[in-house]
Formats: sequence, structure tokens, C-alpha cells
Amino acid sequence: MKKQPKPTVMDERQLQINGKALHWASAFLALCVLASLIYDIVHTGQAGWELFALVGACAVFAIASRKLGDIQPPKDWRGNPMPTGNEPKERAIRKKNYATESIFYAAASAIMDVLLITFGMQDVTDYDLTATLFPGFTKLPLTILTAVIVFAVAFLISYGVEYLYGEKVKVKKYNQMVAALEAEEEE
Amino acid sequence: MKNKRLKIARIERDLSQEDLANAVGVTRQTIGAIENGSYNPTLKLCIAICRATGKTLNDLFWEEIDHEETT
Repeated sequence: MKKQPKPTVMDERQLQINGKALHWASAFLALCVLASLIYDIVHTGQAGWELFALVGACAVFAIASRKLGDIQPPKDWRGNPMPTGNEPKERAIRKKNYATESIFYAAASAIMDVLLITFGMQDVTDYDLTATLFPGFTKLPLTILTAVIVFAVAFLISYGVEYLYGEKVKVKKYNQMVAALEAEEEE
Repeated sequence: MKNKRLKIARIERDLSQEDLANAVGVTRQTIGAIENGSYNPTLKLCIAICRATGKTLNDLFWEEIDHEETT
């Protein structure tokens, strides 16, 4: 076989290694900026440069994720590949994962609200719905009810978004790309 | 997990790691990493390797399904 000249640019493995370093560096930076932001909000009630830095770090993370992303099947919350077919059993596995991820998101939202109310950064009466529905309730029951309502609403929104993005974008795109590559291979 | 099928396919074609690497546009180290299971190639690279070795994705990369599990 005729010897071809060695590639002068990095190959995909080298690009991936460098890309992953950038990926994790931007994630770490985002966490540090988030910690600084929370500290400032708690102590001064104001957010400064951290907000822009956080948005920038998240943007770098998202761009690096996109560049690193290969044609891989959609993954569940544990990082395992999910089936991408249209059989009822395969759809059920994906829906279960969407529900699981939505539960995590909803729980985090509810916990965040409880913390904000507990540390006085938010007044439970700001939540008009719970204050209106349960006018005679004291702070603790109102806080619990608020957390339940926030959990339910966050779950519904998250599940809707996960389902639409997962089914209509990720799975569809993956199946289209694999079909195109396999057709190209057959030629 | 080591990719022994790729190594066998490469040897059947009398290709060194460097020959195969040059054919598909990567470094010899990348082919070595794929064969010893320490690197998971992109689908495009998988297809390029299949073309270079005259095999299919099923032959080289997709995991063999245990038929006992599917029955």
C-alpha cells in the first residue's frame, strides 16, 4: 500500500482529548463563578460580574459539548445509551428516563425554593397561588405546599421539554444520521 | 473492551497499524487505542475503517448480541 503523508493536524482522538480538557475546565469555572455569585447574593443581595462570567462559562461548555458530540445514541441519566427505535418497549424506556430526569429537576427546584424561603430571601406570601388557596395557613405549611406545587409544575414543564427535545430532536437526528451513513456505506 | 475483530481484519489485509491509520486519516496511536479498547471512535471513523478493511460495522464494531438473551 502506498504510504500516505502523516496528518499534520490533530486527529479526532487528539482533538477529543483537548476538547474534553476545555469542557471540564469551563464546567469547573462555571461552578466557581456560581459559588461566588451565591455568596454575593446572600451577603449583599446583588449580583455583579459573576452573572456575565457564568453565562460565558456555560456558553463555552455548551459549545465544547456540541463540538465533542459525536453521532452517539441518546443517553439516560446514568450515561448509558438508550434504544432509539419506535417499538413500544423502546419508547417506554425513553419515557421512563425523561420522567426520572424531570423528577431530579423538579426536586432541585422545590428544594431551592424551600431554601430561599427558609433563609428569608423570598417571602412565602409571594407565592400568590398558595397564599390564596390556603389563607389561614402559617409559614411552615405554606412552605411545604409551595414546595409541592413547585415540584409538580417543574416536573410537568421539564417532562414536556425532555420529551419533545428527546423524541423530536435527539432520537430523530440520530436515526437520520445513522441511516444516511449506512446508505453511504452501501454505495 | 479490546477490539480483536478489528485487529484480525487489519492483519487479514496485511496492514500495519500505521498503514491503516494513514488510510483513514488518523495517527497510529489512535488505531492502537481503538484496538486495545481505550478509545471509542466516532461513527465516521468506524465507517472509514470498515471501508479500509473491507468489513461492515457489524463485523468490526457493533457488539455481538447474545441470542439466548433475546429469546
